[in-house]
Amino acid sequence: MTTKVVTQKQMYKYFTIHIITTIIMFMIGIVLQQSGYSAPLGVLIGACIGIVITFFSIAFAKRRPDAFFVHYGADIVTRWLHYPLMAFIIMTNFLLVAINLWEIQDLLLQFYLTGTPSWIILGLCGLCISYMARYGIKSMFRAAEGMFYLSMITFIIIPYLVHSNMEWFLARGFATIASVKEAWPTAYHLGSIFGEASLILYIYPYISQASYTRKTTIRFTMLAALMVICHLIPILIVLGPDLAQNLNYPELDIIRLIKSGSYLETLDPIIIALWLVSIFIKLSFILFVISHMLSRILKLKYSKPLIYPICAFIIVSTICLAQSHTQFFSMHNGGVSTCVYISQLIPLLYYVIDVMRNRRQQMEEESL
Amino acid sequence: MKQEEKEKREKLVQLEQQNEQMQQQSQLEQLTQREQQDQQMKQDAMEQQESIASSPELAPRLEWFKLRLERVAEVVFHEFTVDYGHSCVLIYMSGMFDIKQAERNLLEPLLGKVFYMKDELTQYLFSRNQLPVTELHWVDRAADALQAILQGYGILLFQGEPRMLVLPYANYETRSIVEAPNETVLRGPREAFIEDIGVNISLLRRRIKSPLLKTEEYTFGRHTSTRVVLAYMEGICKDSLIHEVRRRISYLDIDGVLSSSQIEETITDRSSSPFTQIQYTERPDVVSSSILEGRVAILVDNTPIALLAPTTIFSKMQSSEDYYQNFVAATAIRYIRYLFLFISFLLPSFYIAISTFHAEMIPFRLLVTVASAREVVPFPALLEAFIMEISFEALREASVRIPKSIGQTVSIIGALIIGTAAVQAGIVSAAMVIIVSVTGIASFIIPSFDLGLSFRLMRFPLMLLAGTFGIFGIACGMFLIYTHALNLESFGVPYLTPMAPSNRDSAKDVWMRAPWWRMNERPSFAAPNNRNRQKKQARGWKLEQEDLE
Amino acid sequence: MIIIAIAYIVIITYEVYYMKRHSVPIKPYVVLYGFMLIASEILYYFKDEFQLITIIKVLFAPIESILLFK
Repeated sequence: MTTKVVTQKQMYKYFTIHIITTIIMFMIGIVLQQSGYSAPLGVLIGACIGIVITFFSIAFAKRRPDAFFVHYGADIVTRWLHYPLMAFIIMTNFLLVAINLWEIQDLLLQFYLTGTPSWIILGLCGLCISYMARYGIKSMFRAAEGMFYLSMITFIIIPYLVHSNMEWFLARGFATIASVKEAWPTAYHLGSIFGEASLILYIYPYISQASYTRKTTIRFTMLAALMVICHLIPILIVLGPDLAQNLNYPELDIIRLIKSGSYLETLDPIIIALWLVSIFIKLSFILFVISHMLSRILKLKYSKPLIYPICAFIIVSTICLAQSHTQFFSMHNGGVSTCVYISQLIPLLYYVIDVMRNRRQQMEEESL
Repeated sequence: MKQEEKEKREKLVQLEQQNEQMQQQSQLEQLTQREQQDQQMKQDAMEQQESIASSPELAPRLEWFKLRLERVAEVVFHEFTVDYGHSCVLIYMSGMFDIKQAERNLLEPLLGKVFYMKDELTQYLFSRNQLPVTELHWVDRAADALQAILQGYGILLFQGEPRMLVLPYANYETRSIVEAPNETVLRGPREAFIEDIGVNISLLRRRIKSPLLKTEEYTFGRHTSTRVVLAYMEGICKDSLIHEVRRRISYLDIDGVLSSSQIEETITDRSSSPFTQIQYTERPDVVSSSILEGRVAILVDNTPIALLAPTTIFSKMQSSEDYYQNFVAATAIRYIRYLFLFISFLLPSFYIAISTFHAEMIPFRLLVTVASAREVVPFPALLEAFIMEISFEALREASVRIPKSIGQTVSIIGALIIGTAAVQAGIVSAAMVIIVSVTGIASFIIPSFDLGLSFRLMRFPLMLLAGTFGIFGIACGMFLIYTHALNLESFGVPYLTPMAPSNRDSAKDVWMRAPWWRMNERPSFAAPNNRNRQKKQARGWKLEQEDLE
Repeated sequence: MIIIAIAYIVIITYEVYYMKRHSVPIKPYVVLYGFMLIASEILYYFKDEFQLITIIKVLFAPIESILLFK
């Protein structure tokens, strides 16, 4: 019997942070490249995709609210199918952590710590995330709860602070240029990130008041979408789509425009530091899910002793992920989102099979 | 054939194993039997001795006590005879026993009377209770009597009577109650606890005159027999909490309990953490208010410090002064405290990070000033900060140890002369001196000394991280500290309670100091069941007045 | 490569010590650790010849280009 340690409030705060950190820090450049003025529309569509995926996994989780998917999955499909599928999901989550870590070290190496060997930075990040993950499920959600208002303030304050630099004539583009066709790539990429909320399935037995989970999902997805749009629009209005497309981190350039009086020239290191903390929380959650799943697949009783080794493995694979910046960014069009989608939709397969089996059983019982 | 052989061999091996097991078992049984016999013999010897000690005869008993208190210089055996011929002995420790009272209230009445029969004497003393002494009681077991003597009581033995009279005239010198030396306030009460636990409990009882204030007494320390008292409000304090404190304390078996810190480190949730998870105070008003909130206080004899559990990091950031000052001012001061908490452990590392990695963050003119000041300094910022911080810590430590009469001189030399000279000589920059002094002041704004200390110590690794990774390093360090604090618990209460996990009710006393008439409920982490603290609308009179107008 | 090995040894020592203190059966974990160590060493050794990215590209890029109507 697992204890229900995660409250709905904590979940709301955690997943809001989970979704917006990656999008705002790393995805905005790509999104603007592909959609330009249609990006906000794409965010909305992506949020809807995310909600749908998450709803499927919640509906599936509800069928056995007190058991872990990794355990009972083998009963639904056969064991021979279950373990490869689980391995695929684990690998995808692995990849997510590795990609995020790669992006963090790339950002830091480009702007702040030029010349530092990347493995030291990765090691420090790894230490942080595995230290948090090792404390168990409670710690990430509590951390998000404590951080929520602070990180929300830093996320909200940026659009506000740059408002003097806005070129309002560019705003016309939203009305004239937006189209669903252009918005679709954004929706596709962001949908996979919004869909990451479907990780709820793997921690469902820990959630208290689980009947409200769907409501909470809508709330945090909406808030996250709103926050992302709040960042996209200023970037489009300040930099314009053409300039923003060619920047790897347009968000950083926006922050650099902020001049709060003459006391501080730029705030970006501090804001980046705060964002990093948010991303660490997110990564430690995924790391926790990985170790949780792995320990249950391998029939090990405790997942705690797996966390540091898994993290070390992830760091090594991060180093081997890509050799250059261009190579890495080409990957964003190269199927990561699809890979993530597939891993998110695997529970749907289980769901369908489970429902069909139940129906058949009922039919058989009725016929008897 | 081979298979048969194999089977045979296996059977043989099995048999051998069984034999071995049997032998081992029998050995074990023998051992245990021997141990039991030994214990039995010991017990028998003890009982024999006890029986000697509790026999009605005076001489063997006296012998027993004398044997036990051999080579104890301060023990006094006063032998005397009450008319007609009842021989008695008064045993006490001189210096801990008020002999004048005993002379007046015991020896005078006893020696002034004539008891013809032994029964008369015992009736006078035990049944009719005619001695002019309150709290008079008796013991049968010699061991108890011995303990009573060691605690400063007097013991009276009679010929032909197994019961021993305990005279409650323990009297030893204690310090008088003085003003709290470490937690001073402007408006609140000045009293502080002293070393004597009886006085300390009376200080609590004087504030909470309720039978619900329970004071459970325990004795710890094989040799010290130190009194330890758990104080809590019945009905307000969670039962589970009291059970938990009792359970943890029950594991304590040590030769001496000389201070409350021994108990603290034994019962604390995680003793390897830099954050202490039990609050301590020397002020009876703080203890009383905590008890009224539903917490448990642990008082230890010979310690002027009481322990409070559970605690959170925020209750360590509160000073008792907050509750005596105007709430608006107190709230503002609280925010200053939170600000300086961060300054106290982030400022030096921030300076290092900015001056080494993020020079673009500070405006150009300030940058020029800082850079020109640092121009002559031969060390990198990290080393400079380390030197200054460590010498500051050394100064602080020295100022605690230095005798008061020369303390001022040393601090003037240390702070002013060395500081100025170091700057003029170009060893450290002026900016660094300013930063170190601000940090030093900031660390003393934190009301709880141990919290300030732990933050002061964590500053050093953070400085290292800042020197190697800039603000990113600080972020990582903060994240690790945050994660650690997040997962600490003090008797089941998360250490960062109203923040993470967030709790709106308890937050009332954290993000602001709510006025007293608004604090209708106790903080929910301490007393979840009985939260009503006062009648709602404590300022109802005002509504009434406005109605009249 | 040596750094990876050292890091793993430190981690494994810590975890084994931790598990011994909490009396958890160590054997399956140590096997897993060994497997991870070897896997990461191999991964690191061949990092110039092949990147993880290429696998993902080969597997999923075609599906994605169809879905994005490219």
